[in-house]
Parts: sequence; structure tokens; C-alpha cells
Amino acid sequence: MGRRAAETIVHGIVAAFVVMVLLRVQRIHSPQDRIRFWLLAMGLPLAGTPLLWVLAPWRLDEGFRDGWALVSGSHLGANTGHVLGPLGALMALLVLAGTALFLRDAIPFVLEFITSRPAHQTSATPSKVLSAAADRAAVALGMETPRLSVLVSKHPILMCRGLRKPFIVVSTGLCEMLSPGELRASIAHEMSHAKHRDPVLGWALLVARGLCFFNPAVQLAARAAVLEIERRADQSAARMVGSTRDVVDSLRKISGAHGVSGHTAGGAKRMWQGFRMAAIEMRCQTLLRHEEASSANLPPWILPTTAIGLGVILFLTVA
Amino acid sequence: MERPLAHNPDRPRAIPGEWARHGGRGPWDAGYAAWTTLAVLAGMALALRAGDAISGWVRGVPRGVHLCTSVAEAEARTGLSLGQFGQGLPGYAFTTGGIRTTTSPVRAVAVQARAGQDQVTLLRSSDGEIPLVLRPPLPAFHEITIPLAAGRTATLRAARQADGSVWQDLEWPDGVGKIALRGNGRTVELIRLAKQVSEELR
Repeated sequence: MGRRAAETIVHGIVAAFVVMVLLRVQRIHSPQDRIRFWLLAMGLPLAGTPLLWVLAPWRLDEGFRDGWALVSGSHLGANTGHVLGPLGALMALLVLAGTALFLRDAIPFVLEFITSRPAHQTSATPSKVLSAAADRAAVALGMETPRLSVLVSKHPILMCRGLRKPFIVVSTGLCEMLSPGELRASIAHEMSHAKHRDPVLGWALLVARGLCFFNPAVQLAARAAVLEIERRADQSAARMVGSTRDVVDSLRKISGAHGVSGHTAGGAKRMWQGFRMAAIEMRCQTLLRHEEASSANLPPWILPTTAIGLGVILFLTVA
Repeated sequence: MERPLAHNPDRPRAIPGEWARHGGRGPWDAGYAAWTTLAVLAGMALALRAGDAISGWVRGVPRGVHLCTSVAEAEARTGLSLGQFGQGLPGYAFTTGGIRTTTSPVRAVAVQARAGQDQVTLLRSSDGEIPLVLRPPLPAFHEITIPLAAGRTATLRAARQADGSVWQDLEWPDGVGKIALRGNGRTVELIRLAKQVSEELR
């Protein structure tokens, strides 16, 4: 069991590293393509590695390890007979890191999901500005206008929810805080999530992360995929409203509002808000810097080639 | 309708870095994409292989050789029995990290023991020659055949190391495999051990 967990961790690290380097050297800036690459980095250790155990159990034999494997745990001194050698200690640290990364994201996600359920809060009728923004974005995206659920709350709440039929949750506090242009950009952002069925993808990623909670590489790849999902929505919103500035300003205002509320909280929460604001600011900078890059088309054979190449490497990597 | 980025007034006039380097051709040159993909994948494969090799080099264990914690583990791994010598060579104590095996291309085991300054290594292969990774070659200056028992002979080779010490190999056939003793002690002591081993592992 320990050896198999170690193998998925090693495979995850290898896949994530290759994807990271490829995205950099090939200058892949399109969020859509980056999502696919990060999903590949997640999927290989999650599904590919167990498939190798089933289809090629002889990979664990000494003959394969000594003759064919690129790297084998047995060559690295993994079986020195000690209960916790240096490699075992490293693996334990990686497992701790993976678990911490999973809990760091899963706990706030679940808490936010529970506390922001529309059924738990007073609802209001969408304003004309809000409805117009949603209708305009729906036309631009070629979809039906999803249901708008307006919560009476001073806190800025904005999210796309619903697995089968996505809908937009927005709070009155958010509508008051943003200018009409920023509100249009924010709604366009959430509409893009609805168009791409991102809530389904978000839950799928969370389930995958839960299955591989011990694997830091899978956790980081999933976080990168989530970031790219947000970037895709940012870029789509910028295209729809015709202004990157409105998207950036709305993002900064919303994250700043969350940050202000964090000043009254404890150090851990402030640190959490700090991370969140830094991530938002990075998105803003990326949006300002690379908006044009989304128009570049990735040659269709790169992803399958990478998948096959990585599959071969992982096949020859035995824990 | 979506507004094309080209008409976006907020669009940067020039994006520094990668776009400029491509001289306006666009980033997707098939040749560039192909060789970078192959280079990254090959680089990762080489890095993994190097990590495997470096680890073995640091521990002094060549690829394909396994350090065992006990003779029992070595016997289980190779299926080769060392008989009573699994408990220790008479008068010698096993050295730490001195129990090594190979499983490919030949199953073989090497057990190193020490008595004072004298070292001796007992080697046994399942078939064919004892692998060089377990018994590095020695340039012999002297080679003779000596009788071990009735109808059984062994080849004794002697070699001088760079530090001036003399090492001797005593090797005899064991079915389709080989048994050997390598030591730096006296020749009569090596022959005495060889006779005991030959009798026990017959």
C-alpha cells in the first residue's frame, strides 16, 4: 500500500513537472489549453498509475526494475530494511504536504458552500442592471440566461452554482459595491463558468483531490487547473464587456472587500486572505499581460504526444 | 456579441518577451513545438535515469545489485542456498552492507566477511559466470588448478592491487553455475574454506 502511494506521488511529481516545463517553454498561455495540460498532470497519477498496476503487474519484478526501469525505488535504497529511512521520511513529508494542501482548500470550499446556500438566506428580485448584464452575457455566449439568485447580504457574494442547471448567486452587497461596468464584467465572468459547466468540473476536481489527498503533486495540479478555469472566465468576461480594466477592477474590489473583513479576524485568517488577494492580483496581472495570447491555437497533437510520452516515462518509473 | 480583442482599447500595444521573440509569426511553429516536447520528455527520462544511477553511485551499489540485510533475504531473493554459511563463515564475521545479490541477467549472491585484516567473499551464481558487478575483475598474474575433493578441482588466480595487497580468487563449477571465494588472506586459509564450502554446498 505504501509503495503504491509512493508510486502515485512520484508519478504525480513527474507529470506535474513535465507539464509545468512544457507550458513554460512552449509559451502556452491559453487557459483552455493550460486546463487540459493540468488535467493531464492530475489524471495520470490518479487513473494511469492504477491502470499500470492492473495491466502490467510485472513492472514490480526485479528483472524489470534492473533491466528496463528508468528509476526504481529499490535502487534508491527504499528497501533498506529500516522502518523509516530517508526516502520513507521524504514520502511521509510529501503525504503531510498533500493532505495539508487538500484540507486547506477543501475545508473553506465546503464551509462556503454550506453557508452561502440560497435557501439559508433572504432572497431579492434581480435588479434591471443585473438582469440586463446577464442577458447581454448570455447572448454573447450563445446560451440561455441562467437563473439569477439574489441574496440580501452586505457581503459581496458572487458565484456560479448548480451541477445540472447552473445558476448565478449574487448578493445585494456586491451590486452596491461595483460600478455598472464592473458588475457587467463580474456577471460575464460567472456566466462563462455557467457556459463551460465549471461547477461540475470544480466538484470533479474536488473529488479527484479527495481520492489523492496524500499526493501533493495532484493537489498542486488541481489548484493550477482551478486557477486556469478562473483565468478562462476572466478572459471570456473581458471579451464580452470589451474591457479588461472592468474585470480587473471588479476582481480587485471583491478581493479587497474580503480582505477588509479579514482585518478583524485572527492571524491565520488574515494570512489566508493575504494568499487569496495575492492569487487574485496574479490573475489580474496575467489578464493585463497575456490577454492576446488566448487567441493562439495549440497544435492538436501536442497534448496526445505529451500524454503518450509521459505514459511511457511513468511506465518505466517504479517505486 | 463578443468583442474582438484587436478592438479592445485596453489591449497592450506590444506584449514583451515571447511574442516579440517570435518575430510576429505567432508562437506555434510546429517544429519548435515538436522538438521542445521531445526535449522536455527526454530530459525528464534522463533526469530520472541519472537520479537512479547517482543514488547507486553514492551508496556504492551498481545498478542491478541489491543490498540485503540478511543472508536469509539474499537466499529468498535469488533462490540460492548458502547452507550453513548463511550463519557465517567459520572464524569470520559478516561485514555491514556486505550481502549483495543480482537477479538479472544471472541470479547470484555475494557474502562478504572479515576476520581482523583478512577479508573473504563467498559468491555463488545460479547459472553461468558470477556477474562482474558482484566480483569486479582482477588482472591475475598467477593461475593454477588445485584439487578440492575427489573429482573436483578449482582454479586459483592471484592478483596484486595498486596498494600492493594480493587478492586471490578460488573458483569451481557448481552444476551450471559457479562458486567462488575471493580473499586477501593466506592461500591455505582460502583453500581450507573452499573445501568446507564445496562439501557443504555440494
